[in-house]
Parts: sequence; C-alpha cells; structure tokens
Amino acid sequence: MSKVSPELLARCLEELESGRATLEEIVAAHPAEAEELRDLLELRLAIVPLPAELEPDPAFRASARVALLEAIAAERDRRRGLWGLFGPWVRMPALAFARLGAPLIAGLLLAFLVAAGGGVAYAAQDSLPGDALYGVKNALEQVQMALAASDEARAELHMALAAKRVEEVQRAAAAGRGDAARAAAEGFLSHVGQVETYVGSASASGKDVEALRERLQANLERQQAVLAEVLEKAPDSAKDAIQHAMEMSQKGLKRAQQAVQGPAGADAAGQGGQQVEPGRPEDTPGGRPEGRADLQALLQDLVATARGGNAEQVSSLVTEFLAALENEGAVLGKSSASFTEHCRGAYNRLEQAYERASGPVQEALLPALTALEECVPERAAPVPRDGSSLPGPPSDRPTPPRGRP
Amino acid sequence: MEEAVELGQRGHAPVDEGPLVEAAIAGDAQAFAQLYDLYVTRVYRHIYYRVGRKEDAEDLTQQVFLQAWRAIRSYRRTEVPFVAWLLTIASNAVISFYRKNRPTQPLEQDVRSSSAGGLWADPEGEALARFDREEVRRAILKLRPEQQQVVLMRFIEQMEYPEIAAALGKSEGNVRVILHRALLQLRQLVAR
Repeated sequence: MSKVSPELLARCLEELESGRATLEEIVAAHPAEAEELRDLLELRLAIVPLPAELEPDPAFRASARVALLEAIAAERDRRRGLWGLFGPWVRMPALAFARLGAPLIAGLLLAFLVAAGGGVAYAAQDSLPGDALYGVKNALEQVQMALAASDEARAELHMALAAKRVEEVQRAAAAGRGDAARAAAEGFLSHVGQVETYVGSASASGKDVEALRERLQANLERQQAVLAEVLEKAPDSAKDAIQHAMEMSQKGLKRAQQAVQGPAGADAAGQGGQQVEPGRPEDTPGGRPEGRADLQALLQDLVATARGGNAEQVSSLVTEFLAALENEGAVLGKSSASFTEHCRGAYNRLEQAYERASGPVQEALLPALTALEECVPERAAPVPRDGSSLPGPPSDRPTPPRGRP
Repeated sequence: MEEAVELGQRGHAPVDEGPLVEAAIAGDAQAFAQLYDLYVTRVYRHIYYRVGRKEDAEDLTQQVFLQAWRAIRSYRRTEVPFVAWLLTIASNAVISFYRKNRPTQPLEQDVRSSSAGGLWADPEGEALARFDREEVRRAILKLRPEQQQVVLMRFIEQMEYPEIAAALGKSEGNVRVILHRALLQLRQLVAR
C-alpha cells in the first residue's frame, strides 16, 4: 500500500518541476512519506527528455517529406481506381472531373476507354474477384459511379452493383472458388451499405425515396433467398462470409422494411442499431459520413482488408478506426450502454477476422482489439498473462484473442 | 535547483496550426506537409526515446505521418491538440513495433556518450543520480501501454495534465492516478 497519494505526488512533482522546492525540501516537508516520496521523485529526475540537439537527420527529414507527398499522391491515384490504373494519361481529365464534377468529361473518358479497349471491357464483365480483368471491371464501375449525378442515381447504381456481386457469389461458389465468393460477398455488403447511405442522404435533403426503399427491400429479399441457396453448395472457405453477408443484409432488409412501413429512419436506427447518416461514403473530399455509420463502414473495411491480407493497409485502417472509436465514445459517452454494445459487436467481428488472419495482419489488428477490450467491461477485467513470449510493453491481460478456442 | 532548470523547459512555441489542420482535413497535401515540418522533430524524438535506434525511429516517424494523413478526417472532432493526436498515433506505432518480436533497444552508444551535448542534458547529474536513466527508460518500456503514454506525455513531452487528459479521453484526476501507479510500478521494476 502506497503511503503517497496520487494528489500528494502530483503536488510534489509540480513543486519539483517548477523549481519552487528541491527534492530535499519536499522530502523534509513530508516525513511520514519520506522514503517512498524520495524514491518516486528521484525516479522522476531520471526521466528526462532527450537533448534538443537530438533531431532527425536533415536528409531524412527532406526525403521523408518527399516520400510522404508521393505516398499521398499514389494513394489518391489508387483510390481513384481507374485514374490510377491509367496513370498520367488520364490524371488531368480525372482531376478536372473531380473538381468540376462535369459528367461530360467522365462520359468522354468512358467513351475513350471503351473505344480503346472495348474488347477488354467486354471480357472483364465475366471476371470474378481475383481474376486479372476484375480490376478493369471495378474501374469501369467507378466511372459509372462518377457519372451518377445525384444521391438517388448513386443509390440505384449501388443497388445494381449489389445484384452483380450476388451473381458473382453464385458463379464463384459454383466454380468452387471460395476466395472469390468471399470477396464478392464482402462487395455485396459494401454496396448495400452504400445504397442505404445514399438513400438516407437523399431523404435528408427532402427527396422522395419511398420507391427506392421499396426496391431495396424487394432486392434484398430476393438476394437473401439466392444467398441462402448458394450457401448450401458453397466451398467451406466462403461459407462464413456468405453467412455474414446474409446476416448483415437481413439487418439492412429490416431497416428498409421499417423505413417503408413506419416513421422513417429513427425507428430503424433504434432497432437495427445502425443508423445510416447522410453523407458521402465514397472517397471524396467530402469524406465518409460521420458517427456510427462511419465506424461501421470502417469496421467493414477493416474486416474486408484483413481478409485480403494486406497488413499495412490494415494497420492504417486500424488507426482510422481508433480515432472513429474515440469520436463515438466522446459522442455517446464511454460508459454508456450503447457505446459498450457497439464495442462488443465490433470486438466480435474483429476477433473473427483476427482468428482467420495471417501473423502480420493479426499484429496490425491488435491495437484495435486492445482498444475495444477496454470498452467492454467483461473483457477489461485483468486476467493472468497467457505466457506469450512476445517482448515489448506488457499488458496486465493477454493481448486479445490469442489462445481462444 | 539544477533539476528544476532542466525540467523547467516545459511547453513549446505556440503555432497557429488551425488553418493548416483545416486545410489538411479538406485534402490539402501541402498543408499536411507543413504540419509535418512543424511536428516531425517532436514525433521523431518521442519515438526515438522509445525505440532507441535511429533507423527504427525514422521508419516509424514516416509511418506515423502517413497514418495520420490517412486518418486525418477523423481528427476533426477529437478536440485534442494536433500534436497530441500525432503522439497517440506514434504510441500505437511503437506498440505494434514491439509486438513484432523485437527486443527493447538500448539507446545508441554513440549518442549516449557524445560529448557534444550528450544524450542526456547533464552527464554530471546522471553520474550522481541514484537511478540510471537508461535503466529507467527500459523500465518505462515495460509499463502498460497506457502508463507509458502518460509518463512520456507528462515527463518527456512535458504536456500539462489537461492536455494529456484530452488526448487520452480521461479526466485529469484519472491521469494523475495513472501517473502515480506508473511511478510505483517503475520503482518496483528498477528495484529488481
């Protein structure tokens, strides 16, 4: 039991650091706590900043700055998909498009690409995730998305693309291609989320979205049935993803039903726990919608990326996820039941992803799992270490899901 | 009073980072590069203290800024100083670094023994001190991540309690308690 209270220690540290008293004076003023206080203050004196001269090498500073700007430019290219694929040849028109929002430019670009590589574009339509031409298919879809001029049009297009992904799940499963089926199922979920977001956005700006919601409902009902049928014959490696897609789309279906039948939006959020706020989910300067939808979107990205196996991307998303989690904690209150529930759900999703992931991806996921653990009371309780031999900063409890059955 | 002089270098020159941060959030890479110019040294030094090797500190510093760029749109509503947010990312990066099976590095010998400023500000003080600074540094790296973060933000980054509390989403009282426990834990670690 420490004799020195946190308050006393803080006061003594303040006196020492400000120069108002020396260590000896402070210790003399607190004879009952003298021994312990001396140790703690002497320890404090041994923790000093590095000297000012220790700075990064100027050559490193400069080269890292250049590398940072290049990485930012490269990421923008990659995220723009088609623009990145065709590099400098289309970068300028693409930027012009992005800034002016001129569908004409995108249309001309599409016409050019189809004319230049029409056969390739045609062949790409039959490709599945993992095929060489699948990137072309995705790129063309992004151009279509760029041409969509309104939230309703974007919702319509995402609905059509969701249907395409379901069809890909079917074909991939029939061909015994588990990875492709899994990737297509993830894509399906992503498009369904986008439909909901754009419908929400259109609704928030006063548009009549009843017809869209009804169509979404009908589509989801149909797709649920198709996925259920596919699930029975799917390769084992794709079953969990298809199952998950069904569960999530079932939730989407419920939300669509509630929105059509009842007081739109609000009830749906309460029931489904996934209110989709208006916003722009694409990677545009407007960014993702904020709040719960943002966290959910990030979680989906994170799980999908973890499945893809790119540890660097996972690590980057984890950083983004942690910031969004912090944000949500600030909004809802970290001790609130809803925040805890969100964290629990996210933890379970990530835990599954963790168990399927490779070593580097598992490592990249750990900070997110650790942060979520802190938010879930039953997981935050300290338990004995599991004997992991990993060096580095230890924790009072085993790092997340290692050793779980 | 020598300690007080050494420890009294609290705070950093105030910089109006607001417009740069806003521009960076809006997607302006050049504005972000200016934020890099402002904070690269501080992030590097923070990381260097924890990893002890120039090459690792450089790699991680680069990684932190790239991650910060990717996440910057989430920063908008966190309401903590930008540098504190960067240091939180740095902290996560260091934790990941150590999880990749690397032993804690002693600080580089040439930096430790350099007479041109030395690693530590007062080599004489170090010689007379009861605790060896390098030993204490290594002990800090054995604390729980949260304790490490508070100790480093307070004693190395010389951040005030309210700043640390905002950065970590905790109350000031909570930060004091974490610091108290961390020092008690350190005392045990260096006594072994």
